[in-house]
Amino acid sequence: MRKPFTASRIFDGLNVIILGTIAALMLFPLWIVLVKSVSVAHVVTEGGLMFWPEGFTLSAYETIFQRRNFLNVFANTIVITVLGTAISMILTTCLSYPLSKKRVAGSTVMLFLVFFTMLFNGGLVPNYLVVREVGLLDTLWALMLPQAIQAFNVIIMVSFFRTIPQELEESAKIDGANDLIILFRIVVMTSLPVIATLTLFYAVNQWNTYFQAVLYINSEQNQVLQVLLRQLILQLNNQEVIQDDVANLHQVAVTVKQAMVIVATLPILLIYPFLQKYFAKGVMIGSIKG
Amino acid sequence: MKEAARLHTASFAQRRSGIWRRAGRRLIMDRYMYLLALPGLIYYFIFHYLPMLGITIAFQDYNAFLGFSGSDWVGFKHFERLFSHPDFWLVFRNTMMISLLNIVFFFPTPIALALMLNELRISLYKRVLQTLLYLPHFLSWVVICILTITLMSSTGFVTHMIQWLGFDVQPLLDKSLFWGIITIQSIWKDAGWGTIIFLAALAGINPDLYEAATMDGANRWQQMRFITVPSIMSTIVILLILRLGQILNLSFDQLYIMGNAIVRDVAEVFDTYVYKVGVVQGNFSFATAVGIFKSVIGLLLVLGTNYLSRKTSEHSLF
Amino acid sequence: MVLILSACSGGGASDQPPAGKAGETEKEERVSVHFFLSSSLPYGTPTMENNKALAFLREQTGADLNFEIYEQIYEDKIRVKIASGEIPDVFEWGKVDDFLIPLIQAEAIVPFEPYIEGYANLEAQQQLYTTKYQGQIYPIPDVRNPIASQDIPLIRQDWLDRLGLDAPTTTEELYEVAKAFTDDDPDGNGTDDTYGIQIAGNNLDGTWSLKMAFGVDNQWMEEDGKVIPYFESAGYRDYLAYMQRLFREGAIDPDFAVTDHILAQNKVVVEGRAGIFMHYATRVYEFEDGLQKSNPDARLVGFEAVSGPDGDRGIRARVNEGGAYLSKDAAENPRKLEAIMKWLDFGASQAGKVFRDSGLVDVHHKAGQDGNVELNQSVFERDSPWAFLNTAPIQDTSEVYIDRSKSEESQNIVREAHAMNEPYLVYDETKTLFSEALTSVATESDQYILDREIQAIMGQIAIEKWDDVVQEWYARFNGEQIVQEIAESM
Repeated sequence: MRKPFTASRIFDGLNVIILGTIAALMLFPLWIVLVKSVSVAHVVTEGGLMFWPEGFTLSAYETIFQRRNFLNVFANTIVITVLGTAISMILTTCLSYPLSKKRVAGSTVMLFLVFFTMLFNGGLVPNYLVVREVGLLDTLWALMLPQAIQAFNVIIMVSFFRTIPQELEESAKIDGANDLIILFRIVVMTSLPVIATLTLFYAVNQWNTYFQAVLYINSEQNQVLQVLLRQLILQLNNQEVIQDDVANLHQVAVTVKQAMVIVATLPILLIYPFLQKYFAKGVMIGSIKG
Repeated sequence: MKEAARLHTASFAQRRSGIWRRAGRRLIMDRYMYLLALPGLIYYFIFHYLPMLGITIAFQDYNAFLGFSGSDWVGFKHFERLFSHPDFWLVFRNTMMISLLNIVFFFPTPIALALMLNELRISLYKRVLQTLLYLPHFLSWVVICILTITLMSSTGFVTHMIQWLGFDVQPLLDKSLFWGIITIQSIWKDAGWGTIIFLAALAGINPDLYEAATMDGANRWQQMRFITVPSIMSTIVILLILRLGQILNLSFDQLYIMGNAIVRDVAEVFDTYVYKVGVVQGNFSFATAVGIFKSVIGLLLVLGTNYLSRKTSEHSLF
Repeated sequence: MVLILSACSGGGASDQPPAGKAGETEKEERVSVHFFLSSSLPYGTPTMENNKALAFLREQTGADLNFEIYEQIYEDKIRVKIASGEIPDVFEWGKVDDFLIPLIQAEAIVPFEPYIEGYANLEAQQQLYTTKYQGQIYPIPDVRNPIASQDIPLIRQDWLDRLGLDAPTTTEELYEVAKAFTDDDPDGNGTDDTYGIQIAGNNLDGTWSLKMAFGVDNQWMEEDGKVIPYFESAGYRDYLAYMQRLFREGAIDPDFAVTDHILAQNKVVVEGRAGIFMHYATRVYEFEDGLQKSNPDARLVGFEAVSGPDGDRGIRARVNEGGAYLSKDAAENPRKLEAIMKWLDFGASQAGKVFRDSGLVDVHHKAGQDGNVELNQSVFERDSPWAFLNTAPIQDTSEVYIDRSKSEESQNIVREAHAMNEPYLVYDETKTLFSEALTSVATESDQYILDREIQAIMGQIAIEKWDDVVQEWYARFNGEQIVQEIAESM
């Protein structure tokens, strides 16, 4: 009885150490960015390594928060993240459930059609024209609807739904439930881990919206965070179209670039702890036995 | 009781009216299913399949002013240009190699990490570690590549370490190390994020299975081998199939920034090549054609591995 | 409001833009002109409503000017715009490439050349309108004083002083100084952490001043009666040998191949690792804000471009290749055309310059003493006047890149750096010669040669083998055809 016990303990110990080391390695680039963002501008270089701030200052953050229209843009981003994620999750869940049932005629074909869009895409211009024709240009809807469902997420959810034991649904059918009730009362409840996962994926994606925002949104009041943050960074552009001396004269401090990274990512990082509890096990217990 | 009665009626009707009746019945029985799927399908039609018509510019000399209907049709001209380019095989090889290294080294890493995390006993430590592990995912490639360049420049920390170990190399300027550096960067950036799906899959495993196994005297290794891993196998297979579909797609930012004159021969991939020749030149027809090529290869791989997987195991996408 | 009206009387000289009267114009049928421009927008998109700067421009041109101004993904935005069937009356683009040529051939765009006559401010700078297609000037660029070059040689004066050296005047002296900066601890800190010359590997910024020292002055040159690309010339080979020697002896940043232009600047102006840097003179300002803050004795100054073994020397003249393009529809509407030309002409005037730099007096700024202006920051940011013009007069050399918010000393350094190099400006007219065969492979070709130049400098390609590189270029990019077409259009 003793041998497996010791091996198990050693494994646990090693596990803790290895994972801890890896996590520290993962943390350190962001740590450097954080340190640079609160340091005094003239000692910070783009490539240098800094592990502790020199001359603590929040001026880089001030530059960002004082930027005209910041609050409005921040609010927009919250809206497209929350509302957009909700829309995406509802649509994705409703679509995934039928597609996960082989008995539904055409489900395999439909699944393939969804998957197909992962590989083939009409390109920038056709997508723009469709968004324009539907009347979404320059609205926040353009940032929520065109990318509402991601095929990857559908496939993930479909494969998770397929692992739900048939007995669960059959016992409900015997009790008279129709497909809708089964979906919302039972399937969703037993799929909380994957729901939490996809919620996180959609939320991060919405929060990071950049390219579509630049493409579809023209007016300031509908703009989102990632676009505003990038406006603060003036890079000398090698392409001839933008050759402006304003860019030459007003190069932005490296610290502001670092602060931009922090402002861009910190809020969304805070979502994960809230979703973590849904990764807990044990929601299945009791549902079959009864 | 109702179900049994319904089945009985169905088979009776079947004998009488054949396949259309049966299909009709099936549709009615599943009507809620179709209702559920409808919004999603409409979405796909409007925002994916309608624009997909625009992919025809790959077969045209697209002129923004003349539009889709006005631009000349050139058939496979752009594809011919792609295949006859002197660097085509070089670019193909680079793209494939980086992708394959990615599949061999990157793909299993989140699985291993997820299994390791799953074994942690202290919940708080586990949650903190999870959060730390996926931090690099949020950093842009620009930040990560600049950091890499700093660490591996001639005066960089990593370079010093490597030289101290006896190898006289400049990592960034060494063709033989480039693919390795790219793979390590990818692992660093996204392995942690990749654990999320597997953790969700692990969370779905019925704990009764473990209870029963412990009672039967199975140790931790056996439990992992016979319960944990098989339970997430379908997830692994599906993700692998999807990954193969993206085989010729790499991260443009990463390869564009890390590429330099010295390693160009191993660093030029389809995405960077298309950027130069298609996008910067303003030749979008060509860019689209290359995109189609990449996707067709991906599609073939997906269909192929899906078929293989279906024949050899019960896990498959379609 | 009161301030504006009372300041109106102080209008004075015709060069001063009058204070803008918000929206009080005669009611008449004004033609509408649609502009699609790119601009640096550090404060976001300018607000169009109640924009005094915009209102002023509408006054000036007598037309209803409408602007769409973007900074990010501009190229994609203009593309979808045109694809949506709405070609703007005026839009910006770079040189004539695969995107533009089909538009020209489909007669969506016409040259500006026939319409310049009669507009004094534009005629005064016409020699800088170099981008042509089929012999005609197509875009009107946002011109600069040619001295606003990327090749301005800068050097650490304090290092020269500490080592008792003078600024180099020839390539050989440059070699000596660069070596000294590398080997002799010029920053006196006891560590071997410096090197001579900083260059950026992603585009070899600034090396043209060294190429020119070896007689390589144009993109396309004539040697032995034949037109050749610059990298085929004998002088270029000498340049490569020179750079190879410098690199081999550690006098060039050993990491230059993996250093982009931002990192390169940082190494000079923040880290202080390199002593010689050829770039925009504005780097002096970043130096002031960077290294000089922690090291007040450090000084970055300009020096004259060095001359080579045959006495050649030069700095690439700054000529912007892209610019504003004119749509055919706009050109065929006389009232639109007039408004557009007026808009261009205003931008190219002195009044236009003031407008761009500081907006309207008493609205966006207050005129102070010695030409100093005090910006009304919030209004200035909101209206963003600079974004609404795409032309500028050629500045006086003493005014180029002068940033009044920086120290007197830095401003003077910039001024002197430009002044001392002005005599050596070289205009490369061959840069905008057109060749059909070249257009679709231009980017690839440039990268191809750039890669090999870097490899050669690092010693990976022997000078004797450079001929092979040239031959490969000819084979791969149909060089004979390109050279022929270039020769024809010369």
